[in-house]
Amino acid sequence: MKFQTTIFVLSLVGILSLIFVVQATPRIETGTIKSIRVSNTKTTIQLKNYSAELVIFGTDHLNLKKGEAIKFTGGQKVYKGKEELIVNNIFLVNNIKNQ
Amino acid sequence: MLIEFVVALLIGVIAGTFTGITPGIHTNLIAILMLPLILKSHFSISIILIFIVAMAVTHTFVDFIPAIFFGAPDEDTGLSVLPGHDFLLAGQGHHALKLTLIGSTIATISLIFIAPFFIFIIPKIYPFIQRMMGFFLIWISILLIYGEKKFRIKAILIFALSGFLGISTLNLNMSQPLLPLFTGLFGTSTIIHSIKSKTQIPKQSIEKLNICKKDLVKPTLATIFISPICSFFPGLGSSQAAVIGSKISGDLNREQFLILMGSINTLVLSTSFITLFLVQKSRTGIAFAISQITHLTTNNLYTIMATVALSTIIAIPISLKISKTIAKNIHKIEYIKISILIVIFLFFIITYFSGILGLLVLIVSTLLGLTCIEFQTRRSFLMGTILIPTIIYYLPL
Repeated sequence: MKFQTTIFVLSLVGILSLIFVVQATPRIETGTIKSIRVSNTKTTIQLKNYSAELVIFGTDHLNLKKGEAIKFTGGQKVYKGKEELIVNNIFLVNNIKNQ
Repeated sequence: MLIEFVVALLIGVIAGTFTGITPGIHTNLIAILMLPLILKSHFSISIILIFIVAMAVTHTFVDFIPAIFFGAPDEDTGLSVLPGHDFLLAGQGHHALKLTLIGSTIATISLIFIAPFFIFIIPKIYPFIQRMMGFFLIWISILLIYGEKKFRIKAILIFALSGFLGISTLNLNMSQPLLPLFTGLFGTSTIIHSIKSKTQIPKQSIEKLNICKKDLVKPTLATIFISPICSFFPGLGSSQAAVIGSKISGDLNREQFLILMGSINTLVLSTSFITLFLVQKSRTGIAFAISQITHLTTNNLYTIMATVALSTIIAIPISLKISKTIAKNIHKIEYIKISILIVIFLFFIITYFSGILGLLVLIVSTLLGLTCIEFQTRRSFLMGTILIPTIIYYLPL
C-alpha cells in the first residue's frame, strides 16, 4: 500500500512538473510563409494555415521569401481586433538564423 | 533491374528485422534519420520505395518479439505487452507471437479487399467522419471506462492523468515525443514491475498453434473497419485503432486481442500509403519519408502493394525463426539481468533521440505505468495519453 501511494504521488508530481515545464518553455511553431510585408519599423508575415499574423519588430533585413518554411517562438496578442504573434525568435528550417 | 528490386527488398527486410527486434527503435525514426542519405543517393525511386516499404512492413511483424519476450514495446505495440507477457509467463510466448503474425497476415490479405473501398468511399465520407471523430472518441473513452466494473474511480484517475501526461508531452519542444511516452507507460513500467516481482520465465513450449476460425472473425472485422479510418485521419494511428477496434468488436479474449494488435499494426501502415497517394498527406513517419522523396503515382502504388505482399511472405518465417530461438533459450538466461540491461538501453536510446526532456517524460510515464499496475486497472486506460489529445484536436471548439 505504501509503495502504491508513493508511486502514485511521484507520478502526480512528475506530471505537474511536466505541465510546469510546458508553461515555462516557449513553444516552437512551424509554418510556411504565404506573404511578407516590410515597413520601416516592422516585418509582418502571414503563414499558410495559421490565423495569427507574425510581427517582427526591428529593421534588420531578414532575407525571408514567400514559400519558405520557418520555425518561430513568440507571444500571442490581439491588436485592433486582429490576432498577432510578436516573434521572439525566428529560424529558417534549413538554416538557423537567430533574430 | 529485377535483381536490383530483389536486393532492395531483401535489404529492406533485413533492416526491418533489425529495427523490429531492437527495443525502442521504430521505422519512423530510421526513415527520418535516413532521409538525408536517401535523398542524396542515386537509386531509382522504385528501389528506394521497395527498400523503405519492405523495412516498414517487416518491422510490423517482428516488433512484437521484444514486446512479448522482453516487455519492451514501441509506440504501436504498447497494448500487446500485458497479454503477451501473460502468455510468456504461462510458457507460451511463441504462441503469442504466432497470434500477432496471424493478425499481420490477415491484414495483408485484407488489403486487397479494402483498397477499392478505401480509394472510393473514404474520401466521400471524410468530411462527416471528421466532424464526428471527436464525439466518437469520447464515446469510445466512456465505453472504455464503463467496462471497468471493479476499480472504476481508479480507472478514471489513470485515464485523466495519462491525458494530462499526453497533452504536456505533445506540447514540449521535443523530438519523437511518443517514444518516451509509450516506452514508459507500457515498456519500462512492465519491466520494472517484473524486476520487482522477481519474475522467472518458465520453459517455453513450441507447439503447433490450434486456433478456432471463429476467433479470427471479430479481430478481422474490427481491423478492416477501423484501420483505414485511422490511417486516413491525422492524430490517429495504430495505438488509437487498437483501442477503438477492441471496444467496437465487443469482448475479445487474449488470443483475439493479439490477433487484432498484429493486424492493426500492419494494416494502418499499409493503408497510410494509399492515404498518401489519395490526398498527399502522410499519417506515418514512413509515409512522410516517402512524401519527401516522390509524389506517388499509380505505378508507385502498385510497387508498394506488391512490396507489402512480398515482404509479408519473407517476414513470416524470419519472425517465427527468431521467436522460436528466443523461446527455446529465454528460460536459460537470467531474466532480471536482461531486463535491467534493456531498461538501461532504453534510457540511452530515448536520451539520444529525445534529449533530457525525453528522459523526464520516460521517468514520469514509467511512474504512471507502475501506478496503473499497482492499482490493478487495465493498461488500456493509459491510452488516455493519446486519446484525450486526439479528442481535443478533433472537437469543434
